[in-house]
This record gives sequence, C-alpha cells and structure tokens, in this order.
Amino acid sequence: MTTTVAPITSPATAQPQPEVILSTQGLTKRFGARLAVDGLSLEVRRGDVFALLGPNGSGKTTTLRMLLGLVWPTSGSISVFGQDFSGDARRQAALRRIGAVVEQPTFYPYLNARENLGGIATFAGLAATPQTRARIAWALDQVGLTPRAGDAYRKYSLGMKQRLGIAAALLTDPELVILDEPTNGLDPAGISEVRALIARLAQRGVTVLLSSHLLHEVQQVCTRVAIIQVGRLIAQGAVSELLQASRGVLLSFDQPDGAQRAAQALYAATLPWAPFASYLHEGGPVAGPWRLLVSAPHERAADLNALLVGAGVTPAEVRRHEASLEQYFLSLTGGAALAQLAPAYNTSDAHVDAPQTPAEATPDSTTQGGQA
Amino acid sequence: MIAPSTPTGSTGGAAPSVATPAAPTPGGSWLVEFARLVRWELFLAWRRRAMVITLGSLLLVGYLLIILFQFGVYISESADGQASAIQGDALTFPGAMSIGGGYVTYIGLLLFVVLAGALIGSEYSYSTLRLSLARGVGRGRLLAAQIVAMALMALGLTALMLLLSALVGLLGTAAGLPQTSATINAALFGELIVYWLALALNIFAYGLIALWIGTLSRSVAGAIAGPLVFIFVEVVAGEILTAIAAVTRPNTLVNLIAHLPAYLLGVNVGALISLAGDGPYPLTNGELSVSLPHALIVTVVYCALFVGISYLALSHRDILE
Repeated sequence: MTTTVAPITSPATAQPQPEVILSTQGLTKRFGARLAVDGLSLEVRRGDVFALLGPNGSGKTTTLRMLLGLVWPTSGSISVFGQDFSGDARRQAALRRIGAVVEQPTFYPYLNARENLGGIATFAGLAATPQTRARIAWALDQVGLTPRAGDAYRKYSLGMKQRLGIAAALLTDPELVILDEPTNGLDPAGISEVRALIARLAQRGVTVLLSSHLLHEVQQVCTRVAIIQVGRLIAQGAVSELLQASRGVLLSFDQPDGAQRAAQALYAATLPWAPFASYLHEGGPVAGPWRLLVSAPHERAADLNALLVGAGVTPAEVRRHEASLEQYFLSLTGGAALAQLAPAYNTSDAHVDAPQTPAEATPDSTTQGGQA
Repeated sequence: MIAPSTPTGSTGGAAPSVATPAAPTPGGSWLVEFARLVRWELFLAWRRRAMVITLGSLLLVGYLLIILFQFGVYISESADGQASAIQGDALTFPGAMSIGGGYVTYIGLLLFVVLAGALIGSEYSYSTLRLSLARGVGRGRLLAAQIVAMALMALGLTALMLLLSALVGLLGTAAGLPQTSATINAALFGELIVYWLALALNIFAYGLIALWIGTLSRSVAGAIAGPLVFIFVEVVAGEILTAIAAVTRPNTLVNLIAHLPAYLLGVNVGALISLAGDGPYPLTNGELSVSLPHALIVTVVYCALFVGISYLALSHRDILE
C-alpha cells in the first residue's frame, strides 16, 4: 500500500505548489525475471531536498540510473523539467541541467582531479576556457580537494573519491542534483559537511534528490521523502507530514504479556481514534519492558490509560511518542530493513485486529538485528 | 573538508581560497562539441603514458631491429661484392617506405589493437562510461567520437612510421647507398599519401574489431583478445579454405569455398594496400587477389558491421557498471 501524505488545506488558504521538475509515472524495470522497480510514481518539486529511502536492493539506485538515462525503463514514463525523457534530444538536454553522483563515484584512475573534472566539463558541453578552469578550481575548493587536485584519482581514499563526485555534480551549477548515497565512505565530519552542503544547495534553490541509509541525516536535511521497498513505493510526502501521521501514544509494561493483553483490550474496545498499534522492543529478547505504540492522538493518552486500567492491564508508563524518520521507515519496511539499518531497535507490526504475541514476534526480529 | 560557503555559493570562512566563478554555459555547435569529445578521447589515450610508452618503444625497437637487419644484409653482400640497388632500396628513399609500411601492417596492427582495446574496454572496467552518458552525451555520439579518435590514431601511427621510414631512407640516400632510380615528383607523393591512407585503414579496421568485441564483452581483455583472435582465425581459415579448394575435385561447393577467402577482411585491406603502393614507385608487389571495387566494398561492409553492431549493443544496453 502506498501512503501519500498531503497537507489538508482549504482552497482559499492553499499555497501554490512549486513546479514539479521531476516526475515518474508507473516506472518499472525488470532485469530478466527480477522486478527491480515496480510501477514507481515519484514527484520532485523545485527546491525540494527529496530523499529516496529503502533497504538495500529496494531499487533506489536502479531508479536513479533510469532518471539519468543509464538504464532503460521496461515501462512507465519519466518527465524532467516538464519534458518527456524518452526522446534522445530531450533527455540529453535535460541531463545537461542535472549534476549526479551514482553509487560510488568513478573517474579515470590515471587522471588527476582537475583532468577528471575537465572531462566532466567536456561531457557537459563546456569549452576549455579560463572560466571553465576557474569553475573547476572552485568546485575542488568546495569539497576541500584543492591540495590534492594534482594527484591521480587512483591514489584517493574512498572519502576523497566521494568528494570529487560531489565536485563533479556541482561543476555546471545544475538545477537538479542527484546524489546516490553521498555520504558513503565519509567520516562523521565529512557526513556533517555533506549535510551542510546539501543545505546550502537548497538555500540556493537547487533541487536535490538523494538516496541514503542514514535516516537521521535525511531527517535533518530533507523536506520530502519517498520510501520504496522491493521496487514499490510505499510512502511519499513531506517529512513533517509523514512524521505527524506516525505520532502516537507509547505504552510500556512491566509484564512480558502486558503489550499483548493491551492490544487485545484495544481491539475489543474498537476505538475509532486508535486504529493501529505496533509492538516495539528495545534491546535483547529478555531485557527491557514490552512496549506498544498506539496510533492515537496525544490528547487521548489519558483515555487510553483509563481504558487499559479498566481492562486490568495497567501500563507502567504512558507517554506521547514523536516518531523519528528512522522509526517511521522501520515501521513501513519492517524486517527487511532491520539487518542494515537498526540493529538495536526492532519492531514488528501488529495490527490491532490481529494481535500477534510478543513471543512470536520478537525472536525473529531480534535475530535479524543481531546478525547485522 | 568541504568548505563553507554563503547561500550564493561564494566560499566563506576566515580565508576563502577560491572565489565563486560564474558557472560556464555550454557553447558551440554540435560539431564543436563533437570535436571536443574526440579530443578528450585522444587525451585519454595520450594520458595512458605507461601503455603508450611501452607500445611505442616496442614499435620503435622492432623497427630499428629490422633496419639493422637490412643494413647487415647490405653490408654482408657489399663485402661479397654482391650488393645491388635492390638491397639498397630497403635503406633509401622512397624504397625504405615499403619497410615501414610492411612493418606497420603487421606489428603496428598488433600494437594498435592492444591500445584500442585497452581504451574501449577500460570504459567498462573503470565504470567511466556513465560519466559521459549521465551528462547528456548521446550514446551514438560517444561511439562516433571513439571511432573518429581511433581513425586519427591510426592515421597518426602510420604517418609516424612512414615519416621514420622516410628519414631512414633519406639518410641512406644521403649516404650514397645504391638504389633503383626513382623520380621524386608529385605522382610519388600522391602514391605515398594513398599508401598511408591504405595502411591506416588496415589498422583502423582491426581497431573497429576491438570496438565491437570490447563493446559486447564490456572488458579490456575481450577488447584486446578479440581482434587478435579474429586475425588468427582469419589467417588459419584462409589457409584451410585455400587448401581445401586446391586438393578437392572442383564442384559447386568447392568453387564456393575457393571464393570465400576473397571475402576475408585481411585479404581485402591487404589488396587495398597492395594497390595503393603499386605505382609509380613499387612499394608493394602489386599482386591483387581481388579487384579494387571488391576490396573497397568488402572492407566498408566489414567496418559498417563492426560499427553497427557496436552501436546497437551500446544503444540498447543498461549501463550497470
């Protein structure tokens, strides 16, 4: 199921939406029998810092490659800057306005950074003028590679290669920057710098489309996200709106079966304002209290508590829950994401109308987390 | 460290090192941009210095050994009092050009396909193809740039060898070595130019095999080994077919087999070289197993096939490297 969260506004107060500069409709890619991307419909607006999130193998990179004309879609359409992407001339013209780093950046290993960027300039149709050379120097300076600009690319560390990739993406002052895992190989300081760089690009009105596993980073810099799993879009919208939708009331219990009993009590009560609940467990299978996240408005916390006490299930703690993007992501993608994204924080969905026992849910989730 | 900058993009901080220049905009016609791409391909070849130096050294050393051998033969026969103008021709101008031409036809060809294969295949092994394609360079245009760059390299390599041969020949002539009389006139220079073009076409055609196999195999090894295997198979197949036709009683099938070698690439580009160097000064033996139109058509068809298959493969391929 795809979750698209849109702001609810009256026509009188609606703000004009920014121009959609990149959209896909039913984008599908099949490699033989394997369906890598399945009917993906995305919408990136001018000025967005848009994150494409998903577990490994979910189709993020394939999607970005299709957007860059490297991989041909099996079906579906792509529109960039309002132009259909299918014609050669239109696609090539659109790509001139895009800067991109796909997967680990690759350059000619026997050329130095300046020469490699010279090649990028050539591909972008730029003449080897003093202006182009100045721009290359500026791009290298932006990513801190000036002191090593004369070294052959093969001598660079992974982090330096990543920086050169970003410099290449910035070279032509693109309207849209596509970054695939831009923080791969960077140390914490480098990650912070990339975050700052993305923020600066956004301030300048550059639209950024990125994929990342670092959900905390994404939450800090991105305005909109799309979450894909097994090639399918499962959620898309503004970060704030997605998180707003996943707020709830978190109930903690001292007894191992407390959360299960609470879920059954809520199911029996059939509360219209609390339609879903999820089991949460932090730490190992025997440590820590069982917890139940109920998708209910914060102001209903006292009502929930009263209902459960009345049913003989007294929570040890009732508190308002503000979901992080990571939690939201995990709640949508489930176990598939656990191994790589959150080894210490497991979740198993438990729809209230089909309560699942913690004993059934936890060991599997914990095992996946532990293997990460 | 990624430098801080102001929202307008200028570098900030205590000591901004590079001011923000205006972003350059693409300029120039399609042809100008294409010429830049070709120049880039040539630059990539030039910057693979280790390979260029190694292959260039092999080429020059091999040529030098042949010249020294020819000189040794001349000295030996001079000592016996048997040296004639025919021995001197190999070391004087323009006869020395045939040594250079023959050398580049075989040894130059082998080294050229190694260079071409390395350049084509490394686009896949280094995963650099996406750099150009993701920047809006069309696949057909990229392939065309590679082909034009390869043609220029073929012309350059053969020109270099012929100039070297001319230099050796002029030195031999200046040293007074005996030679068959040759009239230095416009017709001779015309012949040399056509000879040069035919030699370049020979190595270019086999370079296209490197392009074809390299594009299909997406590997350096395939791009280098492909033309070498092609040459080997072509030579062996030519010999086998000729032998079959010679020892078997003529019938329709044998007649067909007997004609097959005339459709091998090597036979046809060889015929073009032979024809190009046939006069007014005999740089080649002038023996032709096929007619000029036949040789031209077959060579062009081969080249078109190599280019066409490469284009179809590249244009329909997903770039996953």
